[in-house]
Order: sequence, then structure tokens, then C-alpha cells
Amino acid sequence: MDPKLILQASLLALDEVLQIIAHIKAQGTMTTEEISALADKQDLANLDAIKALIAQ
Amino acid sequence: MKKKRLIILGILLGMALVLSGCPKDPYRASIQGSDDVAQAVSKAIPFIAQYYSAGKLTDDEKAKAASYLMTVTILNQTFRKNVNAAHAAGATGPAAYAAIAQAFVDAVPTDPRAFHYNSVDAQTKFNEVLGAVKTVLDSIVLVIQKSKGA
Repeated sequence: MDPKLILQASLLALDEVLQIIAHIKAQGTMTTEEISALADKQDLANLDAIKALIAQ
Repeated sequence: MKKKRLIILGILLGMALVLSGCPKDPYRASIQGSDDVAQAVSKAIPFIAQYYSAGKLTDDEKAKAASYLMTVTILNQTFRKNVNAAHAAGATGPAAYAAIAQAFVDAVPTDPRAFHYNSVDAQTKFNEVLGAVKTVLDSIVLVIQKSKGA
């Protein structure tokens, strides 16, 4: 196993976790209703993107 | 390589969840869980476009992955609607919200890690990103159960 590849994978995993922590932190500053509204927008954006993918 | 990365990611994810702590009330835990699902879906979508454009996903593979994400997203909207309705009706304890979450999880029994791709690269990437959606989805009930009644 190439140690460089392991290090690269670890750094990518760490970056993903840092993004998750940042998101959790952002949620912490919002009211539940604000998080719900944010999720509404995200779901709608996701649906648009998925439909575009299917039509591609 | 793939297994090691998944193990490392699992450990770090566990640490992130422990460090972040559990939400205080089940309503908030439910909505946060729903938002986490939406975020996980959002992160997965660009990879479908990217891998399809690169010729690493067939039409059928793209359709299957996109269809999975669409099902999760539509049911996530329903989950949030039901959670908000329960909150408006005065539900406070974890049990009511956990039942709504369980219905959401049960409605998406598919494990996307069982999807097969011709490309090894695609198999690795989609096991990871669609697997992350499945992991977040499956964890909602547990997070709600661990929350405290308001």
C-alpha cells in the first residue's frame, strides 16, 4: 500500500469531516424554522439538478 | 485502499458527531437530520454529472443513481412536512418524531452500496457518496431517540 495514497485518502476524509463540522456549526446558529426553510430550498434545488441529470 | 478510506472516514465521522453533540429536542433533531440528508444528496449530485460526462457511468447507472437521490429527496420533503405538522400539533417527546423518521427510513429500503457499476472508479465513488446519503438517512432515528423531550 502506497503511504502517499493512504495520506491522500486520509486528507480527503478529513476535509469531508471538516465540511460536516462546519455545517453542524452553521446549523447551531439558526432557529429550527430557519434550518427547515434552508432544507426546503436545498431539496428543491436538488430536485431541479436531478431532473436535469436524468434529462442529460 | 477503499476499505481503509472508509474506516478512516467512519472514525472521523464518529468523532464529528460526538464533538457536535446531540440536538436538544426531537423536533430540532428531526429538522437537522432532514437538512443533513438534503446536504448529502447535494454533495452526491455533481459526481453523477462528472462521472457520466467522463464516460464512467452508463445511461442505466446514471438513471439508477439519480432515481435513488430523487426518491430520497421527495421523501425527505414529506418527512419534514410531517415533522412540522407534528410540531404544530404539539408533539414534544422523541417517540412521535422517531416514528415519523422510521417511516421515512422504511420508505427507502434500497441500499445504494449494492448498486453495480462497470467502472471501478465509479463503484468506489458512488459507494462512498450514495453510501453517505444512506448513512445519514439511517442515523436520523437514532439521533432523535437520543434527543431530550422539550
